[in-house]
Amino acid sequence: MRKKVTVVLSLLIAFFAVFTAISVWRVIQAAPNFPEPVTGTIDQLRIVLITENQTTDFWKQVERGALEEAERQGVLVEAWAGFGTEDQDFNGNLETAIYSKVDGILVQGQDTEAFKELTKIKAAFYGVPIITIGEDVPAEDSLRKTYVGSNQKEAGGLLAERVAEKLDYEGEVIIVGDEEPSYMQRQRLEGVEESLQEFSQITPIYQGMGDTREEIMQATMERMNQSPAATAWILLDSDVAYFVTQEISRRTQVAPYLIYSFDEAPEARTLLQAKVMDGVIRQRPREMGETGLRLLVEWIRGETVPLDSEGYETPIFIEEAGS
Amino acid sequence: MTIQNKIWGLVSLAVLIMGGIWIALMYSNQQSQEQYSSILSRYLQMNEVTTASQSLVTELNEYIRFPVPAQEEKLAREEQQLREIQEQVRQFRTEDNQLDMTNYLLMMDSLIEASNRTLSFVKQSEADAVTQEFNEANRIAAALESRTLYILDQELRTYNQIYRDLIQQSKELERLGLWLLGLITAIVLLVAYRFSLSITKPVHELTRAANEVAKGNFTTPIHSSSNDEIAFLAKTFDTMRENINELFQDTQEKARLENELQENQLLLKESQLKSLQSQINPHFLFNTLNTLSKKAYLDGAEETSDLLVSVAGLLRYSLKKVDQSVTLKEEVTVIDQYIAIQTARFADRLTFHKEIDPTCMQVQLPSLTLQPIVENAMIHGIERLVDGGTIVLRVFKQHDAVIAEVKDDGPGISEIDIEHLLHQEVRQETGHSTSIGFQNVRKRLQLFYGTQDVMTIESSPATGTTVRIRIPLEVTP
Repeated sequence: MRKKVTVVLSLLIAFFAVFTAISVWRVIQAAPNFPEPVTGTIDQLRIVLITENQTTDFWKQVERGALEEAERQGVLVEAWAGFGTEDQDFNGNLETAIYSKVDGILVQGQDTEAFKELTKIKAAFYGVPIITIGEDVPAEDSLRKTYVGSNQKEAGGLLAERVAEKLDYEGEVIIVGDEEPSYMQRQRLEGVEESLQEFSQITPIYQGMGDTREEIMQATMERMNQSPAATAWILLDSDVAYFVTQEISRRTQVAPYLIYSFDEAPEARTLLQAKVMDGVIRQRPREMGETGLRLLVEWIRGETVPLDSEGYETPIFIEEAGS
Repeated sequence: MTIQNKIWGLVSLAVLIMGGIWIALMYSNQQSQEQYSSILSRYLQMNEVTTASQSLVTELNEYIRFPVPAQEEKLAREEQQLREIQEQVRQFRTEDNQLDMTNYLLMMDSLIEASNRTLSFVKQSEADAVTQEFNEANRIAAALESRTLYILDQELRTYNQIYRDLIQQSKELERLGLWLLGLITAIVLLVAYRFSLSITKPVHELTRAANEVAKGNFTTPIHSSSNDEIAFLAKTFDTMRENINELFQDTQEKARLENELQENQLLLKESQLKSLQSQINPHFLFNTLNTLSKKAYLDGAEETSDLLVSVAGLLRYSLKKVDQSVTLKEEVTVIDQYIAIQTARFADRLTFHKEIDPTCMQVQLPSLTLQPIVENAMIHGIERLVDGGTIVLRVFKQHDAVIAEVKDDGPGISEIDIEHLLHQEVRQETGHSTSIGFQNVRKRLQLFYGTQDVMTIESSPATGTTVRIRIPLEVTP
């Protein structure tokens, strides 16, 4: 009897001991991971990447390039395209970055007064170096250290040449841009026009458009009415591509149209694959990010002083539908 | 370990366990609370930033309107306030948020710098600059506000998961508590059980031992398997048992001796009684015999006279105290007298020989021991036979004893009868002149010498019967 009770109780103890031990392990496992506090000042450089739109593939690539390079360089980088619960305005971000006394800013150039003032005056006052990336603003207006991105003029020229070739060097070419083209568009336009100048049989026609869907489609329709024979369209701003092509396809077949643009807009790829568009300028956004960050860091560290104000080009090529 | 110690031990164990659990609970509780409150304080502090920066700007505005020292002091205090909060917030930097946090902290610096610039411009009465700088300060304050929201949002995200983990941990802790409860219950049960066993087992043992003693078993020793108060009790009990045992043995011994004594006395009484009977009118008989003896002599019957003398002698001898010891010589003399009488009666039918070792004559033996044996030989060996027989009395030394041997050539005694005579207690014996009885003689001899080995009988129809009496030589009666 004595033995039985002892054995039973011992088994019970063993049973409970095992489960208690398991439970202890689980309690330890469940312990939350509090983030490690950091004391003292951080000696890593703080750099902010500010772009318009973070969700498109193009700018995501820029961000990735910058982040990867940042890790290699051992600096802290964050990409701001909007924070908080709303999409704060672009300039607000820029301003915040400047007030935060970051060590450097990589920013997509904005051809606006506010932007220029911020970069020229505020950034200079607070001593924050700025490098434009992907889209440029004139150096005198912004006091940016340098520009990293595609050579817009060259890009425009490339497109124009291609289009001209396909037109057999005669015909009308519609060049689409903003009603008041931004600096980047002006650069591209310059390239296109310069290139087309050589071909006397080609008539470049500029068509300005608004931002909204209605405006774009309206303008496209009007242009098609005005220049029915024009089948070559160069879109300086890839954002309008979708609506332009939509409008065209409403009226007639898109296939005979030669539509060329750039690759910033996400629809550009799909339109290209659908053969609605015939060609885009492919840029190297990742390289922009990498190089932009690297140059900025080097400047801050005093390794490359001064930076070439002209800018650092990243490669471009034309990708055509069906290729 | 004594029972008291064991109880203390058990209670201490229970108290320790409870204490341990209580402490653990308190600790874990406190931990939880600290964790929660530390998280909460982060939010509260960061909220303070907005308030402080806004009130700084407000005071700055006031100063611009009323640039008096009192206001300047207020402004300075606001600045100090913001600085303090800045220091607090600095503690919240972690590996995850250090970029955001550093930017945030530096923005506060920017605000304070702008405020200071405004102040100095006011002092310098540069109205445009004042406006510009104040606007700047305003903008920074606004940016700080929205930045605070952003950081709060980030923090909430981070700590959301941590909250979940904390809750999960609580749940696991609860479960742990339950398992621990089971474990401790089982342990305490086992300990209490073993402990109670260690008390009751010795008690049971002791009870069993007491039962044994109650049944009369005083020889089995009592021992206890523990080392406490019960063991002490068991030892005492055992000593008692031993004493009882000794007492018992002594009493038994005494009783046995008493018994022997009684037997002896009984035998003596019997003999005395018998002899007493025959003491009725001893003088009369004695005198009569004497008279007869004289008369016979006077009548010329000398043989008759001698015979009568023998009878008188025999009678005298038998009147003696039976429990006195006599010498062998006296006994033999009595035999002679007895034989003389019997010879007269049986004449040729009785032949009697004696072989006596004279050196043995002084040994002591109870009186009237040989005569009944010889008489027995007469009755069974001679009287029954038509032609009569021979009786031989021999006395000789053998080793450490004297042997008195009475041999007759009669028909012998059967085995059964030999057995009776030597070992039985039958007292019915008739036909003897002194009526003392064979067993009586044997018994008296045994008592006298304190040994059982006093008599042997050999008998067969061919060789007759030989009765030997063994008289040990060192005996003192």
